Amino acid sequence: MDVGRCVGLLGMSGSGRSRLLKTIAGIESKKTYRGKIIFEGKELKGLAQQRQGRGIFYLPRDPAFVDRIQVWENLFLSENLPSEAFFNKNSIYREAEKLLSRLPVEIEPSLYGFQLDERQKLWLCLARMFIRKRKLVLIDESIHQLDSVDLKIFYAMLEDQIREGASVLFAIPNLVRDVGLCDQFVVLTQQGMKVVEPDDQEESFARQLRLENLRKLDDHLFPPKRPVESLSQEIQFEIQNLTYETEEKSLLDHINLQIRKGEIFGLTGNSQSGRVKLGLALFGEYLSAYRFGKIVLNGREIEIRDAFHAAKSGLAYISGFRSHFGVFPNQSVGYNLDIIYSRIHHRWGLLPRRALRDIFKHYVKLLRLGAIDYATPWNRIEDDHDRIQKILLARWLALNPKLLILDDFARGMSDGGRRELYALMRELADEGLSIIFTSSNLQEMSLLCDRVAIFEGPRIKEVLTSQNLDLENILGVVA
Amino acid sequence: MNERSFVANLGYYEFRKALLVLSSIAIIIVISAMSPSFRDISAAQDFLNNVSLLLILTMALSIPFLAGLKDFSLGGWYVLALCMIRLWRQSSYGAEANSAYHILFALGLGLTLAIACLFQAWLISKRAKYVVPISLAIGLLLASVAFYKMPDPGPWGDAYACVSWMVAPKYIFLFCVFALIVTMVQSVRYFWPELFWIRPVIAVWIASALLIFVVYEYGGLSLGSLMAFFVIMGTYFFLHHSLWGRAIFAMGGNPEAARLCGISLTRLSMIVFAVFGALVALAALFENRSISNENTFIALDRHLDAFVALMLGGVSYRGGFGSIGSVLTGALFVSSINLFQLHLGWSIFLLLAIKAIGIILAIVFDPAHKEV
Repeated sequence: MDVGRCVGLLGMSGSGRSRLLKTIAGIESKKTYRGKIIFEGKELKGLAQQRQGRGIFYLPRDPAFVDRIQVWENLFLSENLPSEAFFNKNSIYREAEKLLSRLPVEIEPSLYGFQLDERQKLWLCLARMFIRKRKLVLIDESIHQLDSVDLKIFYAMLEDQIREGASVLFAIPNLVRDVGLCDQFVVLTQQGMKVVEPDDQEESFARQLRLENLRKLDDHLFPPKRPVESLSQEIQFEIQNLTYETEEKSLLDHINLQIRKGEIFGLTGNSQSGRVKLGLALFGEYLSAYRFGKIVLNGREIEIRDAFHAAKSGLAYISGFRSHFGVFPNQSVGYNLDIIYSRIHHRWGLLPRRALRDIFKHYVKLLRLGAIDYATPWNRIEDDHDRIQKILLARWLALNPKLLILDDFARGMSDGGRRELYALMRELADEGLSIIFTSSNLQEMSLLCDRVAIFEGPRIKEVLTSQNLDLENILGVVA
Repeated sequence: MNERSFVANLGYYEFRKALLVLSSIAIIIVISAMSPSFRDISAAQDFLNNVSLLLILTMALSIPFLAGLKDFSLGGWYVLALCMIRLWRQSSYGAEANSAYHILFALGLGLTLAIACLFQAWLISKRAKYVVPISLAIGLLLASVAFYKMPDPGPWGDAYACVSWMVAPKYIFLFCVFALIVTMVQSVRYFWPELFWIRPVIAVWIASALLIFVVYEYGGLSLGSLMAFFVIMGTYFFLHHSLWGRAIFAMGGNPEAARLCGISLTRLSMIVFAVFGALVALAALFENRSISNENTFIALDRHLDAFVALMLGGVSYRGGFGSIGSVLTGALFVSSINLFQLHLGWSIFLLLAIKAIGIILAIVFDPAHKEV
């Protein structure tokens, strides 16, 4: 990268954009990568703090923020202050005041962190970038929380930095937004990376569409689209006026959905919107929030108290963040596969051993899980994401659910694994299983889903049906 | 086929366990060579009783640790149980009670402690990040209350049941044969083409053979040792064949995923601590050392020994990983280290230093504790 360049990193979710930025910033452990990072002719070796001293600044994806200290302290949290142990509070305070006055939001430097709202916190974290001259700025998707007016102001401030000689490396959020600033785009894929130059004459929307097309998978991975007429008219799952509110913000706002039997229903929107929260809310997250609305499955109202109730009433939830939300890494493969089944089909609290073995054998054969047996330790298949996702799918399919919620399901999977899973999803839907499919990959939305709801913040902005379901339309609604 | 072979499946922990067992045997050989007092039948029985007691305590401590609840209240509950036992034996009911009443008292004690532990579980599940300070504070509170109310030891001696009550060899033999048949038949019935069960089954066989040998050599087995044997079997069954045992491993390994799998973490920690309380009460019934207001060290000593056995044996401090074998080998090793004090007169502080170094080494070289 040359001085004063702005490069955008594109890729599917799980393709390694964030990891690349973290590696450069020195946050990732040195053991996790091989190769060299050269900065200003010298190899980068030190810790994150030393790298920051050399002019590298990393802006994390979610605002890094401490509630119990004041704003001016928060602002200079990540800076190496000039004197070793003592620093002049007054001068720093005045510097903070000056910096904060440039922001579009009003923030008093003497306030405490917990007194700020979300927008103020976000701007405060962005403001850290402008404390001093930076040489390399790494931005990790954090701009996806800004609205369009704020985004313009932010770009203007960033341009000043670039003029002063900073280079910027952008991880572009999953749903591509206006990135007119970038001089170059790098697409990360499974096969490697390719570099694309932007066209200066292009309209903002056309550019977004072109970038979205760059992230595309091969169309052959998807099963052929099915006609809308083939869908059953029977309504399997219904959400009426579902609202989740905490004292600070609303998580879900008057969600109304009707999902037919055997329908694949897509949810998209940026990652902070309600698309992820809906699935989690159905599985007993946010129980401390105020909740209104009705959830109806097969004509019967169900009340979600916790994940066990949800599973027992016929819902299933699989997340793409497998290591966090799915896997028990110390246990065997069989344990990971039948942990939920055994919780529901037990006899007097004892495990139904024979049924568990049968289920394991059945799904190994059905999903072609390969050469594993019940007691294979998990660490032997730890890196095989396709197989792990299949095992997690089998874990829920064993319960014969009525509604399957897949949250960014194909994250980090290979092309072969994707093809198999998409085909399997369509097969399951044809057999009458309703699927809520959450993703930020618009191609998955347009080719796999029968209808797509687009979230903006906590509410649904629009629902597209298969007549007008294509990449351009979805992006038009999102943008 | 190569992957399934016995040696390929041996991991770090198996080698660690083997090392612990071998060094325990070496220690026992060294001590019996150097100390004439150890070559006595009563010394051997004393050793067996100590191992059994430590085993029950370690087993009790391992269950919260497997669930990822780092509990440090064991010593407090233990002293409380000892105090209750002594109060019972000094009361007029206890002095005149027959064996049926003693058994009733033992059951009542276990039930009381299990229910009392529920309170701790509830508190911990409400403040999940503060397990260590909460449990430490509860332990201190209980121990201080117990020591405040602790009566002096009476004329009957200190041991409640352990040393004097022996079980005749023929019952032990019958039980062993029964255990062998059951393990073999059940394993073959459920898992025949796969052979992963063969190691635990072989372990049970070897243990039974050892048991029969010991019993015929010594003319019987103390009730404490038999109870420890039952506790091992029961805990194994609880952890690997029941719903809650599975959930305990899940909760320790990945609490977030466990919650999404429908495991109620509050309810599970209640079950965990109920079992913990019952096992601590059981261990207290077989305590054979004297405890008094002057000798308060024993509570800390027992707690420390159990913790050291846990860490050395390889039960993960973070939770979700560990086995019965780890607890067994850890308890055996710590008891045999303690023989140095009993029979060679080593200073207790030297032993403490050895145990502390052991914990540090166990953590440093443990692949499960490595930060990524």
